[in-house]
Amino acid sequence: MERNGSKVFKLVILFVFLNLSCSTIVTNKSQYSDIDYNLHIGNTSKALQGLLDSRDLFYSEKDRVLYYLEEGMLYHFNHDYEESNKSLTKAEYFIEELMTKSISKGILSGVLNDNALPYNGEDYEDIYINIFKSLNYIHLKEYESALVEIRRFDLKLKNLEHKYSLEINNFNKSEDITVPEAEYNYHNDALARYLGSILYRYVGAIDDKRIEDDYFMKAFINQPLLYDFNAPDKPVSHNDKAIVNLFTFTGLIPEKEAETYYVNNSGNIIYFDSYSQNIGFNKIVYKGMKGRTNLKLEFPTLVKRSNPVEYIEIVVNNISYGYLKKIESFENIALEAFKLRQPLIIGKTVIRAISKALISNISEDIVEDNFGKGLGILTNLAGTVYMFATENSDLRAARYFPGVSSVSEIELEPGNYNFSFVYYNKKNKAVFKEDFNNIEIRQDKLNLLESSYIGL
Amino acid sequence: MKKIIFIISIFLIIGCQSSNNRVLRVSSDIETDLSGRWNDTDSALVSENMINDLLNRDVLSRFKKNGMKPVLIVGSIRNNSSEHINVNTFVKDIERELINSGKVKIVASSTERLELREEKEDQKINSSLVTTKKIAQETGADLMLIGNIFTITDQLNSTRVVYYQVDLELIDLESNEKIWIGTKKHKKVIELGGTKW
Repeated sequence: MERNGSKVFKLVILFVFLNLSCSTIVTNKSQYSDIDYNLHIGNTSKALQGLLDSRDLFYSEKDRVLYYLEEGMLYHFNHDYEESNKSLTKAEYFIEELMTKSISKGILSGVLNDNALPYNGEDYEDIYINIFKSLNYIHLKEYESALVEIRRFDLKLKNLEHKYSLEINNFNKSEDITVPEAEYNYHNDALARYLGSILYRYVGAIDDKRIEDDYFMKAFINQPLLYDFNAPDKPVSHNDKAIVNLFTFTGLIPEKEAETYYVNNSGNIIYFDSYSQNIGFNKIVYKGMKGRTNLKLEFPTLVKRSNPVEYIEIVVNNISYGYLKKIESFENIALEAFKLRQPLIIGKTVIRAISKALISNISEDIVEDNFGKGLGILTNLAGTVYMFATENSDLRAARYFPGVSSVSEIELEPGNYNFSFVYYNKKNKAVFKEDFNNIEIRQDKLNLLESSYIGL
Repeated sequence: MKKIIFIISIFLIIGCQSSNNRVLRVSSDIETDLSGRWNDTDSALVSENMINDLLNRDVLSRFKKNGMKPVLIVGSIRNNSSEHINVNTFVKDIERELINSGKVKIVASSTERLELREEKEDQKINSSLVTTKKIAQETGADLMLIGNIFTITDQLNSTRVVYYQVDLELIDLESNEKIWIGTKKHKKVIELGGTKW
């Protein structure tokens, strides 16, 4: 009996270690330090190379959406628009493909955590793919395709509002848990409307441009929490001179960080209460707990990152043409869009943690009945260790979407010009400058210049 | 004990799956709808349907001069949809249907003409006098066909409905009179994935 008990206990330990040693239970971010540094010093080509080199070492098949999102964005910032489109298209394709849920991986996620699942992209990542693909197509002079991307963005945004309603409803019906739907207020996007406006102006669809302009203004008026800054001027309808559109991207989109709660419960209700501003609701109630429970609840929240850039000046042929105006806080929108899915993430986390606790309790009882109290306690201990070690939140998120976008529109006589984007910090010190020399500006083309500084 | 080893083995095997590409050649007549997006089948069906409509109406007869067939050029078909549609293949499908009907002549598009003129310039230098083609002998079109492709997309969870509308307009090049407008609408219901192992 004693020898059999020892064998079972060793197997339990072996099973725990097999899972602990598996790379599927934690999010690895160590590849980012060099890439971040190169972006900080403005060396986007080296940052891109760093990511390409890290592919085999840090990304498995389940991370392919994450990889292609990051690759697509770094190609974009490196002004390689064709490659950026290829990568972002792959990311978009795999996001859609992953809507086909794999039960086998779902089970693995239920046993371990969401890190075991293929990363299928956050909703804000999915929609921003289309903004950057649209910009890529503009740089590649494929304006019809650029407009297709704006329309795709709009479709996804409209679909987002109801995307999780049914899933939350079904979740609540099938589990002993009630998760609330988050309050949500992102229905219209200023940057997408602005891009649509300049594209429709270029193709001569003046009515469509006017509609985009109206929606552009409404994005600011109706969503003051997302657009908590003054709106830039809408694109002009026409001008006798050549119109030049200037776009900048600075900072980085919020990062996922883990919020951890340890719950020691002896009643039959788990009342999960959060006052975190990053979570779109306050409480989750779980009924049906029996006996004592030690729970570790860990789930991701989005946290804004610092942006060293305060304002950006545009200089043309050594003459200042003023400052770009903020048009989009990717940060605000990411936080808002993430609220939609967060109740489900937290609900599933609670269910999974409870399941692990129940299995641990049941295993203890079985082992105690068959092999004695000592082994029973050890089994429970192993179960608790297993839960605490495997209950890690999925912190994967595309890292290289920007934090802020600013725009300006200037009018110039047709000709060749040298442009400089000068980035200043809060102390009015220039921290970065990007030059575009001998750029031909014409009246009959869409003159768009884009610069970025992803300083950290 | 054997059962436990078996369960552990399954967990180890899950991470070791591999996939191999497989190519199956099929006839281009076979309908294939993988993603639900606009594809070669849609292009061929819509062009055939619309050109049949055009040819079955008696709008071209007044452009027959001295028994000569009316000359038509296919202009721009604009993609105003939310899908990346290869408009060039649609234009070629339309041209093919028109030529194969034998009721009209089709002349080269503006971009094709530039290439042809370049070739004729080259012939003037490099071809024999007998075989060199003359310039300023091109056939001018009587009519231009232009169009738009629109989509309306509706989606609830994993069901997506895409409504395509293709509008074609035939315009008299001399008077700018629109002599025919054809509209083809069709709907696709796409189930985005299911549950699979």
